[in-house]
Amino acid sequence: MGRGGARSRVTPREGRGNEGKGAGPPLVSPAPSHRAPHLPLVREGSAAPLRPPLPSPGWVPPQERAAGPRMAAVPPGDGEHALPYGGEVLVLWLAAAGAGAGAGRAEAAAELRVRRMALGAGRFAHRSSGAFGVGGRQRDAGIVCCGCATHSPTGVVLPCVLLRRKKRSDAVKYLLLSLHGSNRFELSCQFELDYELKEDVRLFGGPSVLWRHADRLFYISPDTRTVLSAPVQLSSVVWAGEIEGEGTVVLGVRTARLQESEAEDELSTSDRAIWGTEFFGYAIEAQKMLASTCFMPHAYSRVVSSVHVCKSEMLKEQLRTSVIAVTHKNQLIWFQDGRPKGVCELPYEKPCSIKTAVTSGNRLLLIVSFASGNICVVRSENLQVASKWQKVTSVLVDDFVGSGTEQLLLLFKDDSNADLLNTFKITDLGRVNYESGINYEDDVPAAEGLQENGLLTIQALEKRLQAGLTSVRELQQHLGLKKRVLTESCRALIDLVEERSHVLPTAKKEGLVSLWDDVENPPHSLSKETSSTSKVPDHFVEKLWQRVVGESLVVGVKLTESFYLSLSDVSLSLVVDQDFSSISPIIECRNKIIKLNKAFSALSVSSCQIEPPPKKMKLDLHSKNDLKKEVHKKCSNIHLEGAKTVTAVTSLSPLLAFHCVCCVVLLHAKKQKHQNDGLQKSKKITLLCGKILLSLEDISNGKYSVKMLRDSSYCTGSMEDILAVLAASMRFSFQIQSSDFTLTSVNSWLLGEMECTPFKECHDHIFCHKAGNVYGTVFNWTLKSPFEGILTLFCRSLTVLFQCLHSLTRVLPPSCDVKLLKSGSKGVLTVQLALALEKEMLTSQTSLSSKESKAENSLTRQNEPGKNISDAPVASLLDSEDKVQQFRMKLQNEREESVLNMNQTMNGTLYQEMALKIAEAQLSSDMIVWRLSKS
Amino acid sequence: MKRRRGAAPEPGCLRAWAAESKALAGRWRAARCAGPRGAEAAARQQRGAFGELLLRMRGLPAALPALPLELTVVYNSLLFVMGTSDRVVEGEAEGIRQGLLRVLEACGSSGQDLSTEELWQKVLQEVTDEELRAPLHRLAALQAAWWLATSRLRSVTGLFQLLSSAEDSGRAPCSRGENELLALLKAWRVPAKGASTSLVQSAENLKETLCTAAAFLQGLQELEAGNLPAALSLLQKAAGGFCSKRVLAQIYTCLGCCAQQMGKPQTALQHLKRALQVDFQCLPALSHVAAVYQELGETDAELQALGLLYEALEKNPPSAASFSPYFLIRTELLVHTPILTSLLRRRQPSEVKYLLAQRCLQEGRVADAVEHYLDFLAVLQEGLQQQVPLDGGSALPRIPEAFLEAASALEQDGRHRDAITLCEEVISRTTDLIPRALLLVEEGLEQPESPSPGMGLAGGLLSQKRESLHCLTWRAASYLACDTAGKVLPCHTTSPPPMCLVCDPAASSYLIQALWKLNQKQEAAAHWQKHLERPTGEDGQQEGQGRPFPLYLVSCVKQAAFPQRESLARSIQDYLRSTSQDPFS
Repeated sequence: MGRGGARSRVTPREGRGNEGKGAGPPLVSPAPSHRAPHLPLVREGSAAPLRPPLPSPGWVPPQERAAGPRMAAVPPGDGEHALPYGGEVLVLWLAAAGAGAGAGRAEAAAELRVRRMALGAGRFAHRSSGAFGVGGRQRDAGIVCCGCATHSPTGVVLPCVLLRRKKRSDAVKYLLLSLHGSNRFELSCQFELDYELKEDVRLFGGPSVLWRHADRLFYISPDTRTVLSAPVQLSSVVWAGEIEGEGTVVLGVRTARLQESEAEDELSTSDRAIWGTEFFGYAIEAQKMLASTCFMPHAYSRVVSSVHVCKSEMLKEQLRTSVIAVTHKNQLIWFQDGRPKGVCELPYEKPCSIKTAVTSGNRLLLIVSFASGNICVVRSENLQVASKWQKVTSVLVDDFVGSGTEQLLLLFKDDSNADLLNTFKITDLGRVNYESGINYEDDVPAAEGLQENGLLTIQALEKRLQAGLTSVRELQQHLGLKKRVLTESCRALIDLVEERSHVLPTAKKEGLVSLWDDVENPPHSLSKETSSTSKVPDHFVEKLWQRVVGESLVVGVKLTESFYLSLSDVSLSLVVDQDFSSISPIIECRNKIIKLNKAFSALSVSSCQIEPPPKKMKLDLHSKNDLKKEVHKKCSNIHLEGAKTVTAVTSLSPLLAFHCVCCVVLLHAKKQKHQNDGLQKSKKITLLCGKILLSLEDISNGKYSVKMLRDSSYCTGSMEDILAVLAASMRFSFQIQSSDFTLTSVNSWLLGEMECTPFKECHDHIFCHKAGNVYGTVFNWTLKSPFEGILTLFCRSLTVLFQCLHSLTRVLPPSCDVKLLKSGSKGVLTVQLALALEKEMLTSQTSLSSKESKAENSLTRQNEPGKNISDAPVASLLDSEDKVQQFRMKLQNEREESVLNMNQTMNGTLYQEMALKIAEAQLSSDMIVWRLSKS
Repeated sequence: MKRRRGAAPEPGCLRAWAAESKALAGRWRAARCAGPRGAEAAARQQRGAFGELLLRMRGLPAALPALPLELTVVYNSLLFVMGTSDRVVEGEAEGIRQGLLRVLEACGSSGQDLSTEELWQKVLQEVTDEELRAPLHRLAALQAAWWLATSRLRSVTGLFQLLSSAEDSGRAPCSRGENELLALLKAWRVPAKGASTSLVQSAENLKETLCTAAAFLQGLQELEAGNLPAALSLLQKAAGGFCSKRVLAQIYTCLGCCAQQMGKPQTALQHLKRALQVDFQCLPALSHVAAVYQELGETDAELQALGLLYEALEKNPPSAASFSPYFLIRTELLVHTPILTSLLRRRQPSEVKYLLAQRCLQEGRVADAVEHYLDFLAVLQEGLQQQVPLDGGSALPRIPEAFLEAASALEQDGRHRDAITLCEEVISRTTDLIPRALLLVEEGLEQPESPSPGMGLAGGLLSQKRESLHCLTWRAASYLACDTAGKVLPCHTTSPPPMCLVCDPAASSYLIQALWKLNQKQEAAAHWQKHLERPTGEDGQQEGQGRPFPLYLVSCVKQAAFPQRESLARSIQDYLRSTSQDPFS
C-alpha cells in the first residue's frame, strides 16, 4: 500500500506545461522540481507523443493521498504514486484534462493518468499510458491510496486506486478503480461519506476498501458494495489480508476486555491484564470475530505499528502463522505461531511499514520503511540489518530485471531532478545491483554474496566435522571393546596353558578379607583376661544424667578428669534393677564418647598480631617444619575440654512398657597401670555408677526432654542437652576439599540458609533452627586450610542427611571434592598408625631385651665399645680411609653378634607371653591400617 | 465463590519469558560443570541468549508485573557480560541504568537526566513494590561490583546505605573502628531465594565476592596511603573471604608487603610463604621474600630465594589468565589498582639474574657474582627486546653500568683481561657520545630545581647534559677500571680520568690528589678549600657512606683509598700558608 514517506516538496505546477520541449531523456514524468532552470529539460514533453490519444479534460492538480493529517497538508502537485505490477512500475497521478491551459487549470476536470515504465538499458523506459476521467474539478480530487488487489469478477490481481472527490456539499465521494492490462480503468465501486478517509485505509480483494473512523471499523462489502461497520471498538488496524479458510481478515488493536476471572485476579500474569490492550481478528466475509493469539501475544498490541503476515495455513484445524511486526520500540520481531522467535533492533526511529521480498535462493528480505524516509533491509535468516538507505521516497518490490526472483526498487529523493524514476537503485542484496544510469550486470560480485558463500561453506564444513567426530567416537568405542576382549582372551589363554580354570581376578580385596577373619577369631589368650577389681577412687562419678531425645533414651556419666584419663575402652551398660522374669535384665545400648571443645574454637588464633621470633622462621625455612602447626597445637591444647562424659543410647519404647523402671548403670573400662619399664598394662574393671529411674509420668512432664533455645546469636542448652542430642544422632563426617576457591561459602550456608547458631557452651558445634525436617541437626565445620575442611553432621535420619547434602552442594564452589570419612580423618589415622607401629616396634624390642636379661645364655660380649656405632656421628667416622676401615670392622662385628644372638633359646612361658604382646600390638596396627584403607 | 475458567488462558509473554529465563539458567548450570573450555563457549552463547531475551522484553512497554523478571534477566545478562570479558568496562553497566529507567517508567516517573547514583536513590526511595525488592537488591549488588571494579567506593557505600536504610532503620550502625563499607556489605541481607533457580550466580556468592573485593581494594588503598595498620586489618579480612587460590595468594603477598613496611619482617615472611603455599605461580611473593631477607641481612637466604625465583621464571613462562567461568563475577575482575599491579609485578628472568649478580658483588661473593654477570650478559646478547622491561619498576640499570659492574666483578676475581675487554666495550660505545667540553656541569647539577621562565628548554638541555655526564662517568670509570686492571691505555691524555670526577663531591679528593700530583698546586688548593667548605654531611663520605659510590667504582675506590690523605692535607695546608696569610685561623 502506498508509500512510506511523505514528500514535502513544493512544486511549481507551471513546469507541467512544457510539453514537447527540449531533448530530455525519454523517461519523463510530471515529477516536479524546485529549480526552475532545469524544468524545461525534464518535462514530459518528449513523453507526450508516446501517450495514446486520450481525451484530455484539462489539467487538474493531483493530490496527495489522504493517509493522515500530516499527509493531507502536503500541497497538491506532489501526487505521483508508483506501484509495481508485473515487473513494471506504474506511475499514477491526477492531471487536468486538457493540460496546458493556464488560468482555468484548477477549475478543469480531473483525469487519472497512468504510465507504465519498464527497465531497459539501465533505466526505466515508458511503455504505455492510460487515463480515466474522474469528473469534477482537479483541485477537489485526489488519490487516497493505490495497491494491488484481487479483482473478483476475473480472479486476477490488478492494480487499484482509491480516488477522492469533494462535492459541493460537505460530502466526499470515493471512487475505487481497477486498472486492466489494456490501460483501461474500471470503476469497481463508488460511495459517499460525510468525512474524509484518513486512518488505516486499506484495499483488499474485490477490490474493496476498509478504513477506521471514530474508533470504528468500516468497510465496503465486496458482495453488496455498501458501507458496513464491524461490531468492534478499535484503536488501530495493523494488518488486513487473506487468511486461508477465513477470507479477508483484519487484525486490529483494542482495549483489553478482561475475562471475569482475569479481572478478579489481581496477580494475573496474562498479557491483557498487564498491558491493557489486545489484538482482535475480524473476518470480513463471515462477519465474525476470530481468535487472534495465533498471530502475536497480546502484549505486543501496545507497541506494534505494522504487521506483515508471511504465511498462514490451517493445519489440523489450527491456524499456523509466521508474522513479522515492527514496533514503536524500534524493533522488528518475527513471530511463529504466535510466539516471538527473533528480534532485530532497527537502526532508525519510528518504523511505519513493512514489506517482504523473495530474492534469489528463496531468501526472504524484510524491508522496513521509517517515517523519516529511511529504509532498512533485514535478512530473515538471521534477523540482522543487511542494508539501509536514507532519503528514500518509496521502495517497491517486484521482479524488475526479469531474473525470476524479486528485487527492491528504491526511489530516492532527488532535488535536482524532477523525475520520480530518475534516481533509483535496484538490488536484491545479492547478485542484482543496478543504480540509476549505471549497469552493473553481474560483474561486481556483491560483498554480501561472498559472505553468504563463506557462511554456506562453513556450514558444510561443520557438518562434515560433526560427521567425522561421530565416526571417530564410534571407532574409539569399538577399539575399546576389542581391546577388552583381547585382554580377557589372553588371560583365558594363559590360564588354559597353565591348566587353571579361568576366573576373573578379584585379587585387590583379598588382604582385607583375611583381616576380617582375624578380627572374628581373636586369639584365645586375649579373652582370657578377666575383669578384676583394681584400685579405684571413691568418688569418680561427677554426674549421672538421662535425657529423652525422640525415640531414644540417653544416659550419660561424667567422670572425674583424673580418673577418666587413667581409663581406656570405656563403655556403659544398663541393667534393669527389678526382677522381670520375662525379659533379659541387660538392656541393649550403643555407647558413645563425644569430644567437645569447650569455649572458643582454635581457629580464632589465626590473626596473631605479635611478630614471631625469627629463630622459628629460620628453622621453618630449612626443615620445612610448619610453625603454624606448632602454634595451632598449643592453642588447641589450651582449650581442649577433655572428653569426660560417656553416654549410652537405647531405644526408649521397650522400657516404657514397664511404666516405671529402674536401671543400674555400670561402667566398663580398662584401667591402665604404669609400669617401671614404661610399658602400660591394663586391667578390665567394672564399676557401679548409680541408678536411673524412668517413669512415663516424668517423660510426659518433659522432665528429661532437651531444651534448645535460640538466644540472639547463640543456642542455649546445657552441656548434657548437647551431649544427649549428639549421642542420639547419626554422625557423618565429610572431608570437603576445594581445588580452586576458598570454602567460605560453607560457613555462610550454615549461618544463612540453614539458620544455624552456635551453642553457647561449645562454639564449634552449631545447631540448625531451620523449620522442617532438618531442625535439630547439629553441625561442626572445621577448616584445616582455606581450601580444606571437615563438616560433621549429627542428624536424626538419613533423609535429613541427604537433604542437608543436597542443599550444601548448591553452594559449594566448583571442582569440590566431598568425601565421606568413614572412620576418622586420614590425618588422625595416619598419626595413630605411626604410634601403633612405634608401639609394635617397642613391644618386640622390650620383650626381646627382657628375654636377653633372663636368658641363661652365657655368650660373652665382644667388642663392647663397638655397641655404639649408631650413636657416634657417622660422618666423622668416614673422614679418612683408615676410619672407614675401622667402621667396616665394627659393622662386621655387630652383624656377627646379631647372628649369634639369633641362635639363642628361651623358655616356653616367656615366649608365649612375648608372642601375645606382639600379636596384640600387631592387631592394633592392623586395625588402623584397615580403617585407613577404608577411609 | 464463582470463578469461571474459560478455555485455558493463553500462555502470555510473561510466563513464556519466565520459562525461557529459567531454562537458560538451567542450561548454564549444566554447562559450567563441563570444564573450562566448554563452559567458556557456553558462557558466550548464554551472553547472547540472555541479551536477546532482554531485547525482546524491552520491546514492550515497562509493566510492573513483568519487571521482577526483567530485572532478573538484566542481572543474568550483565553477569555474562562481565564474566566473559577480561576486565570490567564501565559502559557495559548501561544495562543497569536501563533497568532502573524501566522501573521508573512503569511507576509513571522518569529519571533520564539523573546520574546513576541519583537514579538508584530515586528508585529505592520511590519504588515500594514488594515484588521488586529482591530483584532490585540483586541488581544493586551487581552495580556495586561495577563500581568496585572502577574503584568508586564512595558510590558503593552510598548505595548500600540506601539499601540498608530501605531495609530497616532499626539496625545498629557499624561499631566504631570497623570499616563502614564492609560493615554495610556484611549487614546487607541477601534477598530471599525466591528466584534462585533462574539466577546464574547466586546473590549470596556475589555478596561474598563483593566483601572480599571491597576489603582487598580498601586494604590496597590504605597501603598506598601509608596507613599500614588499617591496611593490614583490611587485607586480613580479605584473606578470610571467598576467593580463588590465585587471589588468595595475591592477598597474602600484599599482606607480606604490608608487614614488611610495618617493620615486621618475620610476619612478612610468614605471609609470603603462605602465598606460595596457596599458589606457587604467585612468583612476585618470592621476589618480596628476597627483599625481606635482604632487609634482614640474611644474604644466603636472599640469594637462595632469588635463585629459586630465577629457576621458577625459567620453567614457567607467564601464562594468560585462564578462564574459570564457574563464577561469572570473581574478585580478580573487581580489583584493579596500580599499586596491586606494581606489587605483583612479575620480574623478568634477566632482571632476577642481574639482581643475583649485583647482590653477590655487593656482598663480596665475587666468584658467584662473575658467574651471574656472565649469565646476565649472555641473556642480554640473546635478545634484549624481549628480556628487558622498559617500565620504571625494572631493577635493571643502564647497560654500560651493568657492563662496568661485570667488569668490576671480573677484575676482583682476578680476570683482568676479561675486565679490560668489557671496559673497552664501554669506551668504544661511548666515544661518540662524549662532548668536547662539558661546561656548567656543577651549576646545572646543583640547582636543578631553580625556577626560571625557560624551564622546559633548560630541563631538556639539562637532561642532555646529564646524559653526556653519564657517558663521561662511564667512560672514565672504564679507564679507571682498566687502570686498576693493570693496563695503561694510551688515551689517558685525551680524556683524563680525574676530570670526570669533578661532578661527584665524593670524588673530589681524587681530583685534589691528581692535581697535586700534576703539580697544579694552585688549583689543587682551590679545590681543597672548596672541599672543606662543603657541609659536613657531604664531607664525611670518604668511605662510601651517605651518597655511595656506584657499585662499579667501589672496588676501585677501595684500592685507591687515600693512603696519603693526611700527608696530602698537610702539604696543601703548608702550601696555602705559604701563599696566603693563613686562611684557616
